[in-house]
Amino acid sequence: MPEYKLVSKNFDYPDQPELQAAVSRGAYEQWKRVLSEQIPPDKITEEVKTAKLRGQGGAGFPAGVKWGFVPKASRKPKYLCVNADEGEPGTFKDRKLLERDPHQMLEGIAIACYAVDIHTAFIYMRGEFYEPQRIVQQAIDDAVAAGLLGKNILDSGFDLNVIIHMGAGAYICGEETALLNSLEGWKGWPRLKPPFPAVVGAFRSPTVINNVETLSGVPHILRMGGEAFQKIGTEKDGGTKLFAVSGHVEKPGVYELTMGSSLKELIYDVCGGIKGGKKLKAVIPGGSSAPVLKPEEIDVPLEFESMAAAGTMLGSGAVIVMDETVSIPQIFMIMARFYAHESCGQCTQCREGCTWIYKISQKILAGQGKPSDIDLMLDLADNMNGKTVCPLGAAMAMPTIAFLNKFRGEFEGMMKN
Amino acid sequence: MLELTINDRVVQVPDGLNVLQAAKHVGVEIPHFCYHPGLSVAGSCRMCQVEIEQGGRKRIDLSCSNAAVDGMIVRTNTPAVVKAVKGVLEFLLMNHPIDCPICDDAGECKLQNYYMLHGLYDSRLNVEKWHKPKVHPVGPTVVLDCERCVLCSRCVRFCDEIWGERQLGIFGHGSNEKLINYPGRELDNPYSGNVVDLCPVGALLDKDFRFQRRVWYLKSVKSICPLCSRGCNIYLHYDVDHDYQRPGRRIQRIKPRVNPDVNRWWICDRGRYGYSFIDAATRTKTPRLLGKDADWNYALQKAAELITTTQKQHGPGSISALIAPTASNEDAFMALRLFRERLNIPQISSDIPSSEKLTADQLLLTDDPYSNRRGFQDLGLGPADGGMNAEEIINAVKAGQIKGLIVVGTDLESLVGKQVESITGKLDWLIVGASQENQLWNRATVGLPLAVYAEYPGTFTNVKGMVQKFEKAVEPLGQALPQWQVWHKLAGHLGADWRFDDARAVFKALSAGKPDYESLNWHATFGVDKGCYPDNW
Repeated sequence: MPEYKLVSKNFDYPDQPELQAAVSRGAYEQWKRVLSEQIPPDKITEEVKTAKLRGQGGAGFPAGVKWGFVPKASRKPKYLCVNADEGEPGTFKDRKLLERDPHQMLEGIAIACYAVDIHTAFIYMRGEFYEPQRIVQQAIDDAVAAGLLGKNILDSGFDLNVIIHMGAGAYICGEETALLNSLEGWKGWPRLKPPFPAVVGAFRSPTVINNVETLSGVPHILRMGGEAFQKIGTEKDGGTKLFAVSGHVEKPGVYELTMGSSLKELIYDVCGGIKGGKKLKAVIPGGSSAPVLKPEEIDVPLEFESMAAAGTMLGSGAVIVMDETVSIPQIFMIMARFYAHESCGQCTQCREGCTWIYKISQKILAGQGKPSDIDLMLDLADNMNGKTVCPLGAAMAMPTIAFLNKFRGEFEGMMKN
Repeated sequence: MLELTINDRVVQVPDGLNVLQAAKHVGVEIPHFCYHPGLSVAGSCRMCQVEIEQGGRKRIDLSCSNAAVDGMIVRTNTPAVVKAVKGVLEFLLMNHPIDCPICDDAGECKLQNYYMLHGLYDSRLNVEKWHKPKVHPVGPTVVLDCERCVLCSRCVRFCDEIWGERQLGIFGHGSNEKLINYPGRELDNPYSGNVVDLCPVGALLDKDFRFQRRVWYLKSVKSICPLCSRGCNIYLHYDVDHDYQRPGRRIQRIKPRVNPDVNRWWICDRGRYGYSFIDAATRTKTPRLLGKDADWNYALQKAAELITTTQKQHGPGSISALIAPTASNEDAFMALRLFRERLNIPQISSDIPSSEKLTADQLLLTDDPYSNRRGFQDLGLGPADGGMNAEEIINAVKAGQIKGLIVVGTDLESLVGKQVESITGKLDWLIVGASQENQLWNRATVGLPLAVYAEYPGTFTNVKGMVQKFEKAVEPLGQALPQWQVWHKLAGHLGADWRFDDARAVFKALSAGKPDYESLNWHATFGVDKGCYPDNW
């Protein structure tokens, strides 16, 4: 199974972040076409719906449908927020898109804004992304200077102001409503939904929030047509997906595959198999919030529905591969520590539950665990799962349940010692 | 009206309620911490989870953030809901110190009550609790225990949304998060005490009530705050059975009573903490005659003689009365009946400038420190048409035109300053009615000790013209009497045969022909409540 390079096709050109080089490879062609042909905005949204472009940040919500939720006759301004907060442990695909091909994303932003009649776009970028910030800011400045963004773009009368806003390092601010609160200058606490951001978002105005990768796919949909884009992938998941593979594989890195490719082939063919020929022990297929898979479970198609059917999720496409040398209780403790630290503290179950499970996991590692601790953690996870404002509670609960059930023997083994 | 099913019971509720309110409306209490009807919906405590069935689809969701909808089916008692609620309680108690025996909120604590109703599990806690600051003074009147806090953010939202200043915030994240002041800010807004009422647990406590009384010793009556013309509805919490704990203090605290038309859920700190005058050492307790204690009959007999003699010698215009509008409508009615109707005293005034200057704020406080100015106006106790105002009466005294003066509820400092001799020297006699010893009390020919609002029932009319009743909490101190009773007795000494058995009879007489007053149902209000205040959301 080969890679399918669509959004990553220009990753290997060192000069791709420069406007002229990018334009020579086709950047902004579709944007120019949209403006010169005055393609009706609704037609673009329809095309994106046909393309079955799904939100690539982790939730997989169809992008075109999301755009369609924005009320057309709004007396308030509308906003686009680009979620570049990429914080899910194991994920590093958006960083590549920002660093290697910023103009592709900016073109996607411009087309999305045109489709939804938006004139201000915020790129909410992870606080640690100093280098991507510099590169994207340069790209914005260049595009504005070339008249591709900014005021009266290419004499079309369409204005678009693109603003980078740097986060301050909280994982939760990747959750779309926490992102909005953070963008507005408040504490990054997720908001109660409904109302959804498409109706009441940034500054109480209708707001579209899309992931970097989602927007980067938009120019390709216009170039090849929605149907052709969908055909690359599967019936429900159009196009391609970037996978950030880390851990014990021979060739870790960011790979682009068509939707529906096999997880097993990704690990064994694309990434060259397990490092040093060791035995595979576990795979986390979609960032640390995705329930872990055992070696016998990894022959699943990489698309949102199939992964859900397999009891895990495609998530952000961060594949973490662990070989036989890994201690699962230790991995579990590290993961629990992350969520205990990053829980925003708003909802009771997540605030207290993550810490409680983390402290128990520490006890188990220290050899002080009791067999009843496993059932306690499972029950705590059940009390957290899906019962909070945002999915962070579930993001802790789901992998907890998976780790403890699938590797129960290993946890119990630590107790006997 | 909407029709929905709550716990298999088909009920009708008004429009515009959320599920939690709708359930409460039909008597189903859904446990909650962060929800309060006066604040925005936070939806963060997750305690109010219920099963909601709509269009055949069931889900467990918050009752505070979901509007009640026609045809909705709500269940609060399914095994999944019970487990979810119990789970939240367990998480809340995980880092809670459970120091109920020394917590002033014990007895009216939601965490405690809900544990008894929805918890009752054996602790599964097998790790150490967080430790956080225990005694943190967040402001001049309120002290915070961070360990007890359940981070419901009610106090934060109160400061932000109701008062409009960011003073408290929740800082940090994860379970080591804590409620604390914004850097460099104090909880010093004039409504700060409301955060204590809002706090569902014992995290925020009044400094003046801390470690003073167990709440189950408190009795409660419904009352009206007398400290400005707003007429905020309050509860007086009192305890006279455990005097050894705090000798001389009968009123233990004041809590707001919900009235959507007046004060909603709030009262100001001035009203909340301004109860010390009720049990002050300077209260007048015994009638006085020429600077010496006397009994009521003798004092009133003497007063009657003074009035009669002066009126005979110098005519009705030689006597004047100044009555501050802090008294009840019943007091004003009886004063009017005696002085104007019976004795034909032409110059009676209540427009005494207050020595205390108030500035109205955006919430409740008015600029008028007199609780019943509107009632005095409605009853006609003020300068008669073309009559003298208070200042002119004082000038008439100084000019020697007035021989006898009756002063009630004021020390006249705003009119004569400390120069009391400037008027006492010109008078044949001075009758003073007062609940606190003041500069006139010891110079009075006759001194009449008066009860304060907590010591007798009556009505005030607030700045918007609403007639509101207050109840009696405690007995008058010493021999003090309600003002209307003093005038009632004095009238007897002057030969009148009036028979008003109680404040209600007086109110009935004064409300005749006044629709606003007649509409008040005297009996619709209350007796004595035991324990916690029932408006606790």
